[in-house]
Amino acid sequence: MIGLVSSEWLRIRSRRLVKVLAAVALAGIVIALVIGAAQSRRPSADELESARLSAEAARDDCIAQGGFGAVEPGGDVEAFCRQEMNSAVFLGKPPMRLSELPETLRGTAFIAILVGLVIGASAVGASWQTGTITTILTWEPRRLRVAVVRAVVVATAVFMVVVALLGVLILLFWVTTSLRGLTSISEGWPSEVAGVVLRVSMLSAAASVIGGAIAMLGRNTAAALGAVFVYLAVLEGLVRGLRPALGRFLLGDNIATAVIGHEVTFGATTLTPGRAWVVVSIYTLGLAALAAAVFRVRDVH
Amino acid sequence: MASAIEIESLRKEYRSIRGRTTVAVDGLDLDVPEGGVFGFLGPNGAGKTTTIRCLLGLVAPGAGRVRVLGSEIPRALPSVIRRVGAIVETPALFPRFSGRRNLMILARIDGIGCTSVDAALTRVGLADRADDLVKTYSLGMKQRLGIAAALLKDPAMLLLDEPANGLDPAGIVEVRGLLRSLGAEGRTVFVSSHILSEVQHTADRVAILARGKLVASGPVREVLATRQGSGVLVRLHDQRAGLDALVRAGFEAEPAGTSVRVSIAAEAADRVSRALAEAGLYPIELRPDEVDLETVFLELTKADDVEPAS
Repeated sequence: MIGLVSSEWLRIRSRRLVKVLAAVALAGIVIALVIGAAQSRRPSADELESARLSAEAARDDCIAQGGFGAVEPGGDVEAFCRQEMNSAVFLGKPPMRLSELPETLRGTAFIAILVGLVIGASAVGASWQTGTITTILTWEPRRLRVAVVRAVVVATAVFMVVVALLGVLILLFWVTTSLRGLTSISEGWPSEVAGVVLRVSMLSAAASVIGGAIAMLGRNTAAALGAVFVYLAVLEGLVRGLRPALGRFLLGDNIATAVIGHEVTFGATTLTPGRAWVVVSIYTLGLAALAAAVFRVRDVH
Repeated sequence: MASAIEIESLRKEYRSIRGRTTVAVDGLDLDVPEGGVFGFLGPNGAGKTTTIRCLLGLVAPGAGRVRVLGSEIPRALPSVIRRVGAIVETPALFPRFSGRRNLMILARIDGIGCTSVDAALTRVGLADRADDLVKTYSLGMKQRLGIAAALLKDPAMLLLDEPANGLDPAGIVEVRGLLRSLGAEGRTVFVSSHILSEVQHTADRVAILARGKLVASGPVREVLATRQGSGVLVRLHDQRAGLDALVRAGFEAEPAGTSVRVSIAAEAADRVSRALAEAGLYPIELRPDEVDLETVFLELTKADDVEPAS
């Protein structure tokens, strides 16, 4: 087992696609932050004081007027007004703020999950397309073991790559806001950042398992990516439109909820993070189990 | 002699999406003794590769029983696979990894070290290209890398499917020598091929497969003898005169190309020589009329209704 894990690990870290995607993502992070830094400017003490006073006045006004009708009945008006009427809003051209990092990290989720999907699908699909699955099975004929080890290794690699990339993003974001923005953060900021990184990385790893499982079923990388695209863009769209009640079972909506980390309402359906994780896990493990079961009995040519 | 491979009544059918059934292997019985080189012959589509895939547990037989190195396949495959090195069709390797990286990936599965990888690369003559990407290799180099991969485990048995595919003549001679030396080391080398000269010069025993059925099996000499007519070929300066002299001397003789074929046991060739000398004719060449494996193969596999070997 250790030998197979070691072999799979060597294979995944030798894959050019993994290195290329990581390099492209890294370049994207650097470019985005350079642009952000160029457009950001640290405000002067006078500007900050003026914005603070304006925010306080606006907040009082907001509370007095019940949140301008933007808060649902029973909602916390004061919390809403504190969040919305902050100093940054009154700074003219708002600078980059370290406190916005969790939102930025959430914004990377789509790309990170896509990277996970592509790496997973390609790691498995390439074996079928090059026929190397035959060679591997002449060394380790226990197919279930091959399938499980491969899924675990690919998911671990994707998790580590995404954590590393988000780590770089956090570091560069901090450097940028220290030089050209605002670094004030709330008390819960560190745990919020850690939570988003963990959730995005885990979802990317899950996406790699889903991609790998579909590639195993279709014996092809492109087939896997095509199937996922058709499912998410077409099938889920149809279900959302025709049978809204089934919306709580849709993979896309549940992934979005898991990324956001709090209750989200899609049309008539409200999804909770806990339930979203359960649904995502069922999709991931169900597809992986189906792929492994088919692989176990399938003739390999 | 113990058997390295025992196949009983093996049958494998493939069904297409449209429901069409193709019988790839049809009730195959085969016994391959341990040690030496065993040639597994057959035209394209005869079922050679499917049989090898059944031996390796890659496809599930519809019926029959397969044992490799005394172990039931596929049940005991995990325990026996460490002693079996294999190439199935064109060696399937990662084209964007180097030759060495490909072997390292496989070697790690069995905890085999770098030294063995280097030794295998050297043995097949790829040491100086080991760090080049496999996609830059010629087909022959890929075949040699496949053989290196099969040798990595230091296996008791090698299952090699068309190992000379894509090799140039020098490469074929090289692989032939390698297979012979592996067989001489006491390993069982099971080689499927349709290049008959290669097998005739390499194998101790052969089996011939046609349309999924075994049509001949045994030591190469015995298989050749099944189709070998007793006779000698005589070449003379004057073929006509020689033919007349031999017929006059009571031999059954007929023209055969530029020679005369005499129906007589090779051991009695001295009588032919004497008869010609008495007529004042002296042969340039006198040799047994041998049938090569190719002739036997074509005869055995051309029939519309293939007759299974007894």
